[in-house]
Amino acid sequence: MSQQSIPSTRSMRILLTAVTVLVSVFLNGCGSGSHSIRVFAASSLTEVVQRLAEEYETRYPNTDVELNIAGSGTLVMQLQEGADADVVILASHSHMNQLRDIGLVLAPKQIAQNSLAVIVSPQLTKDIDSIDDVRRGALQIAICVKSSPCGALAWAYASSVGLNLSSATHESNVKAVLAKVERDEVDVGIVYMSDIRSSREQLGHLANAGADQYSTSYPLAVTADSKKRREAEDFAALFTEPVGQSILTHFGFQLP
Amino acid sequence: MTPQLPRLLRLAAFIAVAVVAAPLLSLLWRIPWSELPRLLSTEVVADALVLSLVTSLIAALLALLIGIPIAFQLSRMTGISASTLRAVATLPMVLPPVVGGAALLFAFGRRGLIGETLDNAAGLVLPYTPAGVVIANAFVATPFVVLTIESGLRALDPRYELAAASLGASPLRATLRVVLPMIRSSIVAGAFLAWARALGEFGATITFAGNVPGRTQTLPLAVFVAMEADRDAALAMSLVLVFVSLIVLVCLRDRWWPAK
Repeated sequence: MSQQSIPSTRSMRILLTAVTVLVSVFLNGCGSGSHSIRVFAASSLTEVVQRLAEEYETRYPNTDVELNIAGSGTLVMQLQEGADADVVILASHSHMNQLRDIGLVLAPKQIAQNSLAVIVSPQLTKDIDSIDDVRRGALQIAICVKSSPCGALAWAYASSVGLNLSSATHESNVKAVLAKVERDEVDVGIVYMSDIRSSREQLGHLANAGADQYSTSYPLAVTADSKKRREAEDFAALFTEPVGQSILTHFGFQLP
Repeated sequence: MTPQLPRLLRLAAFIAVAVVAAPLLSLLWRIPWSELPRLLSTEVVADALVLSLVTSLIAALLALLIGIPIAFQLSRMTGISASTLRAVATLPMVLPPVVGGAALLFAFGRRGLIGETLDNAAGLVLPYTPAGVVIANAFVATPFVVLTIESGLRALDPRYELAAASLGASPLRATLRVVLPMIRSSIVAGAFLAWARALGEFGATITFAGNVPGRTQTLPLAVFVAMEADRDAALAMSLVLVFVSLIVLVCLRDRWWPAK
């Protein structure tokens, strides 16, 4: 009666083989190929690193740049927990110093600067054209989480102009803030100048709000235990070459 | 007498339990035990804790309110229509919560199908409010109510209801006085599972209700933020969530799975 419910040895053997094959494919597939480098970059640099990764791949055929893009705070956490990277680019020195102080990265170099910007949803550009309008109205504001560079800057800026952020939503990175403003899910967002440049929407920008006084620097470093030191240095060098500099300025970054 | 399990299967079960328990034990191992009272009493954590408890309880009630009628309807259906309705009603259980959150945003968001009307007509905005958290939580929690109560209803002998009817009870009276008391344990189990699910909700909440400390930042969201800002606080809050979930599951014992 229980004959058919017991799996035959034959099907068990097939199952075991399948599992073995899958596991070995998985283990090999996950190790990056010999010619790839892994770049961890702050969200605000999304478009820049994507362009430079393409540039790197055309310049050095048979190479591959794996990008891991997230908020600087997230990247620091991942690296502290042992994530494997060759190049790290963050949106503030204090974040990079957390990595340098525990010996995870080699000497960081500054590659760019960026300043803060107050942006307004496309639907509200006519109604809101100064920081006073934002301060007065019961508007929904979005900012980055405090632990990220853009969040820290946003709080510093807000306290200097007396802007109340108590009901602001804290997004995990600057691109999430940008997306919420673009889709009119919030009224106002505090992002970077570069985000206005990379956006395809007709956002309002409060250019006289004084946010541009708050800026941050982007340090780049090669990781201490990178096995692709030379390739990583080649990638890093792109940022100081004319091609890298023109891409940086094109997307609204300032050069150091 | 229970038949003996093959030794190989017992070994496999032992390894499987170890695999499941290892991450939880690693979490306990990292907890800064002596700092726990201080970490759990900071404003951010206390706010998140209170908000989580309140919103998850209301969400569990809302899930009962929505889930019970669906479960009753499902228990009387058969064939393809039953499978289809059950699939729709329990979809949020298997759907990635972030997709659920996006769907809620397109429905109840400021520019959503229903949300824009609500905003214009009544000035009611759900995103970035505790009410939005309740909606997101109830959305993911309702399937647990539907499944547990439907299985309770299906296990019930229909003769009780028929007997009540033959004694002159209206369908409403039979349902309220005979059926509901008999499936009480299913209702309790469904409510607790829904509550536990709501308490742990992350993806739909952050997508739909945003992350406003004190208003929509529930414990799981606070853990997510604190993982980058204050690791010890993140661990302390994780401990609370693990502890509460474990208590719920132990208390329910076998109740949420239909008895033989």
